[in-house]
Amino acid sequence: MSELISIGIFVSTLRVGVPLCLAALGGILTYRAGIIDISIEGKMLMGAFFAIVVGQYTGNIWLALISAALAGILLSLIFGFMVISVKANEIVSAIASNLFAAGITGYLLYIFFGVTGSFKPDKIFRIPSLNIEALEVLPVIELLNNQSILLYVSFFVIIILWIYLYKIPSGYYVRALAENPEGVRTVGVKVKKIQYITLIWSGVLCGLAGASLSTGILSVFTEEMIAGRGYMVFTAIVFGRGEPLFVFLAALFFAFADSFAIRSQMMGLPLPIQAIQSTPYISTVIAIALASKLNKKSY
Amino acid sequence: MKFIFKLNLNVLAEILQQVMVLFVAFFVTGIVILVSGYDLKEIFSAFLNGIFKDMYTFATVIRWAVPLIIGGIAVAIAFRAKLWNIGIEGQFYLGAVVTAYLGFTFSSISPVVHILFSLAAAAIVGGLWAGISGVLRAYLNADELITTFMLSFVAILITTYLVLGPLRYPGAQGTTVRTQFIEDAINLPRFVPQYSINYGIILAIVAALIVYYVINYTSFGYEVRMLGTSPGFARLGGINVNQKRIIVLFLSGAIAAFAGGIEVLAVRRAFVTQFMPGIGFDSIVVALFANSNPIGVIFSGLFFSALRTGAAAMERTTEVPRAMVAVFQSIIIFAMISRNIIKENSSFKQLKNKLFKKEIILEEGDVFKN
Repeated sequence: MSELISIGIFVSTLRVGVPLCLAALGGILTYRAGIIDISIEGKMLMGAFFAIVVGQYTGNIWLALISAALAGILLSLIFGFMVISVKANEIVSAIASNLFAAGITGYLLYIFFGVTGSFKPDKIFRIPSLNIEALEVLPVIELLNNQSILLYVSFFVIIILWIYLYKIPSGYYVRALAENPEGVRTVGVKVKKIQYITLIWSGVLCGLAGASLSTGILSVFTEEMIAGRGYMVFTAIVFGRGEPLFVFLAALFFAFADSFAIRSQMMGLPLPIQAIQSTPYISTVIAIALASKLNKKSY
Repeated sequence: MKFIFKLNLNVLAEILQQVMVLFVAFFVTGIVILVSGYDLKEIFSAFLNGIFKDMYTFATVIRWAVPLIIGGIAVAIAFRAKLWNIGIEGQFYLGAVVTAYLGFTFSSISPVVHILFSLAAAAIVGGLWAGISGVLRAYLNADELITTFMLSFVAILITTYLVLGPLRYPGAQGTTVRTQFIEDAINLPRFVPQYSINYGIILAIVAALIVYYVINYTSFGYEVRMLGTSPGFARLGGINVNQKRIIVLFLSGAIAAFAGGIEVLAVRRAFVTQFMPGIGFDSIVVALFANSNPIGVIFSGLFFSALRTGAAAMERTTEVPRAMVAVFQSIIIFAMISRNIIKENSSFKQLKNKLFKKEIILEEGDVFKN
C-alpha cells in the first residue's frame, strides 16, 4: 500500500493532470462569462487529432501544437456562433459540436491516413519536458521537475488568469457577466465580443490539452480518446467556481483519481480493475454533488 | 383508443421544418463528400441501396430502429421535464445484463411470465440507476447532465466486470466473452426467420404510444410538461418538483434499460460488453430530431436507423467511413437549433403571414408541442 501512496503517484498525477488542468483553465473564462460550455470534449478531440495530423506531415511538435490550438478555436467558433449569435440552447449546441468533432475526426482519419479506429504516426514528435535544475534543490518541489513543458505553462496560465480576472478591466466585465449580463451591457461593453474571446481562449487551451493527450507520452490518436474527460473538466470548473487556482486543484484531483486507478491496476489490488477504473467518474459525481451543494444556485 | 392523434397545421408545419432540416443536412454532407474527392452519385446510391434494395435491408432498418426508438423515448420523456438524461448507454447495458442474467438463470417458467419478469427487473434496475441522478438533482441541485453521463461510464464498467467475471460463460466458443445464452423459450421471435425484423418493433411502437398518452392525456404527464415549461409555476401549482424529477429520471432510465433488455431478448440472446456502442448519443439525436414527441420518435428512430444502415452499406461498398453519420447528425442538430433565428427574422414572418390567412404562431421550443 505504501507503494501506492508514494512519490510516484504524485509525479504521475502531474503528468496525467496536464490535459485536464489546461482544459479546465481554458474553460474558466467561458464559465465566468455566463456560458455553459460542455463542448470541451469536442475541442480536446479536435486538438488531439490535428496535432497528430500536422505532426505526421511535418514532424514538428510546435506546428502540431499550433494547429491543435487552431482546431480547438474552430470548434469553439462553431459552438460560439450557435450559442451567441444564433442564440441556440447551449447544451444542445455542445452535444452537436461534440458529435461534429467526433464525426469529422473519424472521417478525416480515414481520408488522411486510410485507417479507422486509431492511428500511430511514424514520425516522432513529443511535447518536450523541461528540466529546471533550480527545482532539484528542495525535496518536495523537486517532484515538479522534469515534467511536460505544458505543465509549467499551466502554472503560468493560472497567474495570467488571476491577473486578468482581478486586475484588468475587461476581466472585471467577464466576472460580472455571469451574474449580471444586463448590467455589463448597460455600461457599454460588447458582451458578444467578450464571449467570443473567452471561447477562443477556451479553444486554444482545450486544443492544447487534447494535443497533450495524443502527443504527450505516446504519439497516437484513437477515436473517442478523450473518454469523457471533457465533462470531468467542466465539473472541475464548476467545482472550483471558476477561480483559477481552485479549478486547477480540482482538475488535479481528478488526475489523481485517474492516476490512482492506473497505479492500483499495476499493483494488482484484490479489487476488480473496473472498480478502480470507475474512481474518476465517481469522484466527478461526488464533486458535482458537493459543488452544487456549496453553490446552492442552479446555473 | 381514447385519444386522437392531433394532426393539425402545427404538426404539419413541424414536419415540414424537419424535412427542410434534412435537406440542409444532406446538402452540406454532400458537399463535404464531394470536396473529399468521392463520386457523389456512387456514394449516394450505395447509401440508398443499403436501405431500400430489398426486404433484407428493409428488415435491417426496422431491426435497428427498435433500440433507437425506445432509447429515444427514454431521452424524450426526461427532456419534457427539461431533464437531461445522457446516461442512456449505461442504463441500456444495465438492463441488458439483468435481462440476460434472468434469462439464463431461470427456466421452466411460463415464457410470457419469464419475459415480463426479466424486462421488468431490467427496467427497475435502470430506473434506480438513473434515479441516483434524480435524487442528486432534486436534493443537491447537482446537474443531471453530468451525473447521468458519469454514472453511465460506471454502469458500463460494472457490466463489463460482470461479463468478464461472475457472469462469464466458459463454454463460449471464439473470442467473444459473453454470458450464457438465455433460454430458448423466451427469445423474442422474428416475424419470419430469414428477415431480422422481430417483435421488438411492436413493443417499441406500443411503448411510444403509451408514453405519448401518458405525457399528453394524464395529469402526471401534465405535471411533467409543466415541470419542463416552468418549474416555478409548477411549484406554485402544488407540484412536488423534487419528487417529480426523481420519478421522471427513474422512468427515463427504466425505459432505456427496457431497450437493452429487448435487444438481448430479441437479437443478442446473451450479454457481451458494450455490444451497442453509441446507442446513448444516437438516442439523444433521435429524441431531439423528434422534438421529444414520442410518436415523432418512432419516425425519427426509423430514419436514423435507415441512416445507420445506409451508412454501413456505404462504408462497405465505397469505403466512405461511417463517421460521416456523426457529421450528418451534428448538422441536423445545428440546422434544427438555427430555426429560431430564422423564425425571428421579420421577412420570414411576413412571408408566413401572407401564406396563411390567419397568423399562426409557431411556438419556439419543443415542450409546447403535443
